[in-house]
Amino acid sequence: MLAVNEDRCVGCGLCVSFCPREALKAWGLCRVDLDKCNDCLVCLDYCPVDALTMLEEARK
Amino acid sequence: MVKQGKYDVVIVGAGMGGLCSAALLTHYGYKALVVEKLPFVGGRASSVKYKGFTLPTGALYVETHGVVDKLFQEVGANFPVRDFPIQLCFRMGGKDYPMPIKGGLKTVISNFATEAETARVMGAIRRAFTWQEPSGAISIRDWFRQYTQNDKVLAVFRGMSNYQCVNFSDMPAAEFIRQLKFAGTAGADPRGFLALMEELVKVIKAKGGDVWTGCRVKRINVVDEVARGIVVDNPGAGEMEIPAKVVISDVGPHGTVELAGSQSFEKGYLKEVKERVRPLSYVCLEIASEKPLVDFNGVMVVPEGRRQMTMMSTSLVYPEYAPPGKHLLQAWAAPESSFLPLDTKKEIDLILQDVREAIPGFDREAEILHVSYWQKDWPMYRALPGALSQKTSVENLYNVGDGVAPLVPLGLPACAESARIVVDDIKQRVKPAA
Repeated sequence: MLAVNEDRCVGCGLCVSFCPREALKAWGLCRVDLDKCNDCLVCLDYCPVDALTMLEEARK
Repeated sequence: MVKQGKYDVVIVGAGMGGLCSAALLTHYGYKALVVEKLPFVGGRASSVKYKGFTLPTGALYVETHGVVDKLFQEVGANFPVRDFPIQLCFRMGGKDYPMPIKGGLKTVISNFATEAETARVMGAIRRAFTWQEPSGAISIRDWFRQYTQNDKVLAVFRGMSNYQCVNFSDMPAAEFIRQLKFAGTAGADPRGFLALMEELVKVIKAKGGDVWTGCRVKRINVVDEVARGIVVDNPGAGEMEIPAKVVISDVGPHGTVELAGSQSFEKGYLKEVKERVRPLSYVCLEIASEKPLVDFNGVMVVPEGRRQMTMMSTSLVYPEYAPPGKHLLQAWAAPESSFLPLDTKKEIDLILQDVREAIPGFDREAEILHVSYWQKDWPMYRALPGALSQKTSVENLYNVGDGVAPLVPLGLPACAESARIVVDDIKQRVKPAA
């Protein structure tokens, strides 16, 4: 499950531009719509401050 | 560990400073490698495509006829930058006050001030230009307050400070005046900043250099207080050691210390980095519409709001930035403090209120496309100019970029000039391998 580290996220919105499923929003800090996210992990490469991580725990 | 040993210089980060360094070095016969963590080059001087629009990752424009195009010309890179009209207009109290090219400031101020008050303010600016720069120990707001208490006049300069992307009460008086002196022409690449940065990549590669994107630098190797190269985590190939005579870092002085380890540096240097390299915050709203929301072919300054704000109907100058039938407006604003952590929710709420008031019919006609914040490790500027020298206390380890900006125009020119200073020093000290 994709998670945002709010201490690191700066709200630059780069991940929003590169998410192929429009699962990310940045209006302030980055937010993940877990219903749309399919864990493709593209956003991890494009985050300039390493604020996005994959959590091992299963989706609820 | 695999060892790759064919480079004179390795550069960490493919931002403006890193790419300018590599372009100059390869031009002068050095074998250079640039390693970039992100999958694209340019860093905060790049652009992305989003819903058919071209949006900046940071830099909104580049000064023309200055240090940047001189560097591009020197290394043989294309510089297809189209100037935008440096025409300013102040939207104040529901009315627009265009600023004439000649005698502009005086004309705008005199709309709100008596002749004597205008003369007092303009006299102070003239002295600051021709006699002595004001002190950097006070803000430009406090400096102007010595000459006027007129809120409208102060607002005009608050707007000018926003054009420099720094909060009026945080901008040192000396820096504001210096930047005002530099004011000249500016533009952008109609293809977006990514394409402009790729022009540098082309010349680097044509002259035998390499640029690796999507490759993370794990550390900068320092032995006996001398930089010896870097270790990268190369996707598919694992850890790789790349020895080099010189290491240039374009990830900011704080990032450089982290990569090389604080034990590698002198205590005094670490203290300077900690105290002087303070990142600046900024906000940009990208707004889409069917018709231009601000029908002015230049920069609209909105200086009296909750936040100091500047707007530009970017697609009037660069129709390429918007899909057919659409327009792009960019609204830039400095937060409450340029240096303190942002309350992102509060800032966006206040800026939106300002935008709504400044643009009649905003809610009917506009769609907010994208919100960009710059702060902390991805700031507007890593520091104000003159914060730190490009050389670190580690021999053959340099910083470039806006964390070590010299006293030239803010932003891209400062990054380019930092690269020139570093490469000039390398040329004096290190010979390229035959």
